[in-house]
Amino acid sequence: MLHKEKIDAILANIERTIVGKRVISELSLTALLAGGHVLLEDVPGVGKTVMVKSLAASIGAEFKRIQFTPDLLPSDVLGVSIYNPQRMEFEFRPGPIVGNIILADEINRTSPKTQAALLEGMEESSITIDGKTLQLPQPFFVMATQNPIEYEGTYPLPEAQMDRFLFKLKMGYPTRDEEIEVLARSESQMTAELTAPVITLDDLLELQVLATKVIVDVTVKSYIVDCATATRDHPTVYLGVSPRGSLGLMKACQAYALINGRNYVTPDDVQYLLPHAFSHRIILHPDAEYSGHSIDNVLVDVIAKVRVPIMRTNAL
Amino acid sequence: MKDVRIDKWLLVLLYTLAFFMTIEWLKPVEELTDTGHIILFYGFVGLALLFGLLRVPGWIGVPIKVIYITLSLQYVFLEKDWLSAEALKMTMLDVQQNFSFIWSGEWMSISYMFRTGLFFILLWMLCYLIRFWIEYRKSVLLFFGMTVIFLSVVDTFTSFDASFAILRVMIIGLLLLGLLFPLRLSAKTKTQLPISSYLKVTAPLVGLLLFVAIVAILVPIKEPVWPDPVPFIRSAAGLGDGGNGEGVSKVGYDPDDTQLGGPFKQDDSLVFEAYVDSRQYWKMETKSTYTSKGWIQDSEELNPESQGRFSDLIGGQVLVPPRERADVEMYEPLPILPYPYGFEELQTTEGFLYVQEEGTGKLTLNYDEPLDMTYRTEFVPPEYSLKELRETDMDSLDSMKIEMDEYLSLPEELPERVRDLAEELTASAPSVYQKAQAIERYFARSGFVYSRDKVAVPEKDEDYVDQFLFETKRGYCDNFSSSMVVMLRSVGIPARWVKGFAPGELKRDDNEEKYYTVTNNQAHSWVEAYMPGIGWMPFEPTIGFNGVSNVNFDIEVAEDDLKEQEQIKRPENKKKQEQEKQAAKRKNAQEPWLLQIIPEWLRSWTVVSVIIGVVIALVGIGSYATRKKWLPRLVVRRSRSKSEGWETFAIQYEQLLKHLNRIGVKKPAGMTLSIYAKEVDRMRGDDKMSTLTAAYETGLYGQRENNQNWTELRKMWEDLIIETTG
Repeated sequence: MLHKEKIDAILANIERTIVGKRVISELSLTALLAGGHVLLEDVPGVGKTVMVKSLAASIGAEFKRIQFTPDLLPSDVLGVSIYNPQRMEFEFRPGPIVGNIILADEINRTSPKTQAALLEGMEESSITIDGKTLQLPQPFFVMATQNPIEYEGTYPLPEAQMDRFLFKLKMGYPTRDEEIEVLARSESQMTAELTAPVITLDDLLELQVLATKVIVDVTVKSYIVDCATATRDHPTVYLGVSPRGSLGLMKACQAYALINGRNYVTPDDVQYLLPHAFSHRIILHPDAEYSGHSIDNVLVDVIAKVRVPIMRTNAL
Repeated sequence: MKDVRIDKWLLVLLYTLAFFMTIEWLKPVEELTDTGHIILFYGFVGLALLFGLLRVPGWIGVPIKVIYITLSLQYVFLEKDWLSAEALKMTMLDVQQNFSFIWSGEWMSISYMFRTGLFFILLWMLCYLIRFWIEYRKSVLLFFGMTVIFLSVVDTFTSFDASFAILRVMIIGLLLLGLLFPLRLSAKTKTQLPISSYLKVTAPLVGLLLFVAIVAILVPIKEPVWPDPVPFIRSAAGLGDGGNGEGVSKVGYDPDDTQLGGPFKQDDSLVFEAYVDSRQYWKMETKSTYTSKGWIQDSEELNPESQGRFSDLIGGQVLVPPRERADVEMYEPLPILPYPYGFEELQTTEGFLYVQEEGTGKLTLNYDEPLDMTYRTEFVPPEYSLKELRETDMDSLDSMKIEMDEYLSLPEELPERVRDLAEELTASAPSVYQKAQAIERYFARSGFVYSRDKVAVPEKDEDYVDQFLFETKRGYCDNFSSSMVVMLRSVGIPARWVKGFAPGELKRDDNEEKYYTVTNNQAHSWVEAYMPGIGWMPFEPTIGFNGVSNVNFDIEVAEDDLKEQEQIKRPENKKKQEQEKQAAKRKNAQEPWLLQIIPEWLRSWTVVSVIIGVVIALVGIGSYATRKKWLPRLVVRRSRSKSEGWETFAIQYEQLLKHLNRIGVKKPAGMTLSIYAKEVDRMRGDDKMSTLTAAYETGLYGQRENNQNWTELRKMWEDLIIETTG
C-alpha cells in the first residue's frame, strides 16, 4: 500500500524530531490531508513550533511563521504593494501568509482586523490586496495557536471564526519519560528544519485528492448528521454544531481513514474525531456552565446517546 | 393535495364501500316508514357515486340526475302514465304548487311527491359529501360515526333491529378508515405510494377485520350490565304508555296473553305499595286455555258467593289471629285487583260492589273504569301438609277428569316431545305433588336461562312451550310457567296459569313499618296445580324466584320427609348412574379403541379447545423463554442452505448481534461495532468477533461487498454462535 507507506513515513519523520505526540501529529496530518486548519490551544513551550516545522519539512513544504502582536497590521500578514521607481509601477511584496504551512502564533493577541485577514485567507485559499486576488499556494495549512483566553490583553476569536478551524487540539505536557527523552535528545538532535523531506508536495496533493475519495456510506453520513443534530438539541447547549462542522467532520474522517489505510469511514473514526472537530463550535448555556457541565461532557454524552448505525439501510 | 393520485381500482373499491355504508342509512327508512320503491333510492345513490367516480362533468351529470329524479317521482306517484307528457306537466305543476306552499310556510300541505324529491336531493348532496370525504379529506370518520350513531338510535328507539347492520357498518367503516389512512399519509408527505406496497400495508388490516368480524359473530354475547334505558327515557319524557300496542313485547301487567314471547321490557314505574308482614304473591287472575302461542280465558259465570260489598270499616277493626292483613295502595290503575293467597275479605273506605270470578279468581269492581285506590284485604295464608301432599295419587284424579277437563286440555298440535319429556321427568315420582315438584325443579338444573330480552317469538308453525323447552331455553316467567302448566297437563295433572305480581321489594317507612313496593317489573306469572283432596296449589318454576311463600311444611313431618326424600333420591341416582354406565358401554362398543381411552368429559369441544389453547400457550411461552437455546441452532442450520455472499453474511452477522444481545452481551446504542467486538473477544479470549466485524464493516461502511472469504467467515460465525449458545 503505497499511500499508507508515505503517510507512515511522514509520521515517523515527525517522531524523529519530536518526542511522543503521535496523536497530535496524526491529527495535524489528518487536518492537512482534509484541507482544514488547526487551532492549538495551549501554553507555550510544549513543542508546537517544532512539530509544525518538522511536518513542513517532512513534506518539503515552505514553512512560514507569523508571531501575532497587538500592533500587527493586516498588511503585515498579507503583503503590501510598493512603488518601484525603476519600473514605474506598484510591485506586490507578498506577506508571510503566502506559503504552504503557516504557524500563526498567539492568534488571539492581535486585533480582530488582522485576525480576519488571516482567517479569510484560510477559508478561501486566496487573498485580496488592492483589488487583486492572489491564489495561495497549495497545499495551504495554517496551524494557529492561542493562549487560553482567560489571559489578559487578548482578543478572543469570535464564534464565526472559530468555526473555520477544522480541529481544536490541546497539546498537553509530555509525560515524565518523554520529557527526559526531550532533554536527552537536545544535546545531539538535528533541528526540525534540517529534517529531509520524505514526500514531495505533489505527493501530498495526490494524497489530499485520495482523501476526498474515501467512501462514506450513507449510514455513516447519517450518523455524523445525527451527532451534529444531537449537539443542537442537547439541553445544555446554547449554540450547536453548524453544518460546516458536520462537513468538516466528514472530511476529517475521510483523511483519518486514509491515514489508517482504509478506503472507507467507520463510525469509530467519527467517534474518535468528533471531540476535536466539534468542541470549538459549541457554546454552552451560561447556566449549564455554572452548574458544572463542560463541552467535553456534552460530547461524551452525545457519543454515548446517538445510535451507531449497525444495520444495512435496506434491511428492515 | 391533488398531485398524489389514487389508484383507480382502489377508488372503485372505496366508492363501493361508501355505497354500502350509505345503503345502511336507507334500510331503516324502508322498514320504519311506509316508503316503497326503496330500490330507486339505492339506484340513485349508486348513480351519483358512479358519476363522481367517473368524473362525469356537471353539464352531463346534473341533467341525467334530474331526469332520473323526475322519472322516479312519476313512476312512484303517477303509476300508470308515468312516461307521458301529462305526467311531466303534473310534476311541474306539483313543484310549482309546493314552492308556493314553502313561501307561505304551509309545511303540512307539501305533497309526498315533493318531499320525495327533496329526499333525492338530500341523497345527491350526501354523495357529493362522500366524494369530498374520500378524495379530498381522505377520512370518513365523520360519516362513519354518524352512521353508527344513527343506527344505534334507530335500534334503541324503534323496532328496527340493527344488530347486523351495526356489524356491517363497523366492518365497512373500519375498512374505509384503514384504507384511506395510508392515502392521507401519502398525500401529506406528497409521496406516491406504489400500489404493491399499499396492498402490503393494508393486507393485515383486512385480515384483522375479518378475524374480528368472525369472532364478533361467533362469540356469545353477555347480557348488558346496565338495564335498558329506553323505558326510563320514555317514562321521563312522558311517553310511558301501558305498552300493549307494540306487537310482541311486554311491559308490566297486560291482560292480553294471546301472543307470548318477545322481550319483557323493563319498566320500574310503581304499580302499588303493600303494607303486609310477609312476602306475598299477588294473584290477579288465572287462565286455562293454552293455544300454543299464548293463553286465553273463556268468559265465565260469576260466582255469587264471593260477591260482596266493600265494607267501609277500614281501620280500627280487630284482626282475628289466623288472618293476616294487607293494605294496598294503588299508584297505577289496574283493571283487576291483586290480592294475596288465602283471600277472605276486602275493605275500603268507599263502598263499592266487588265481584270475584270463581274459576279465574279475578277480583273486579262493578265499576267500569280501572281505579287507583287504597284497599285492605284480609287473608289466611294457606298451609299445606307435606304428609297429605305425599299421599296424593294419580288415581284419585281419574275420577275428576270430566270436571277438570278445562285444566287438562292441550292443543292438538302440541309436539310429542313435550309430552315425552314430561313423562320422563315424572316417571319415578310416586305422588301428584312430587310429580309437580319434579317438573318445577327441572328448569333450574337443565341449563335454562332467565332473560327478559332476546326472547323468541314462536313462528306460525311453532309451539311457544316447545320452542322454549327444546330450542331457546331462554326466557322469563311466562315461558317457565306456561311450560310447566303444559307439562303438568300432559301427564294428567290439572293445572292453570296464574298472573299477577311478584312480592316486590321490601322497604320500611318512617315508622319502621314494613312495606313492599311493586313495580311493573314485578309483573309475574306462575302455576297452580290441582292436588286431589287439597285443592289448587301454587308452584314457582321460574328460575331466580324463590317460590311462593305460602307453601308451608308441617315441621314434624318435614324432618322425616327429608330423610325419606334422600332415601328416595339415592336409588334414583344409582339407577341413573347404572343407566349412564350402560349407555357408555354401548357407545364404547361402537367406537374405535383410541377414542375409548379418552374420558367422557374430555370429549366435549369446550374442554378440548381449552386444553389445546393452554398447550399452545405453554409451548409458545416455553419456546420464547428458551429461545436463546434453540434459535441459534435453527439459524445456523437454516443458513447452511443459503448461498455464500455478502447478503447472506450480513443477515448472519445481524442475527449474531441479536443472539449476543439475547444471551446478555448488550451493546449500548452509542458503542461502535469494533469496540463491541473487542469487548466480546476480550470476554471470550479469541478474535473471531473482531474478524467477523471487520468483514462486516468493510461490507457495510465500505460498500465493498465482494472478495471476502465467505466460507471461512461462515465457519467462524457458526463456531461463535454455537460456542456462545452453551
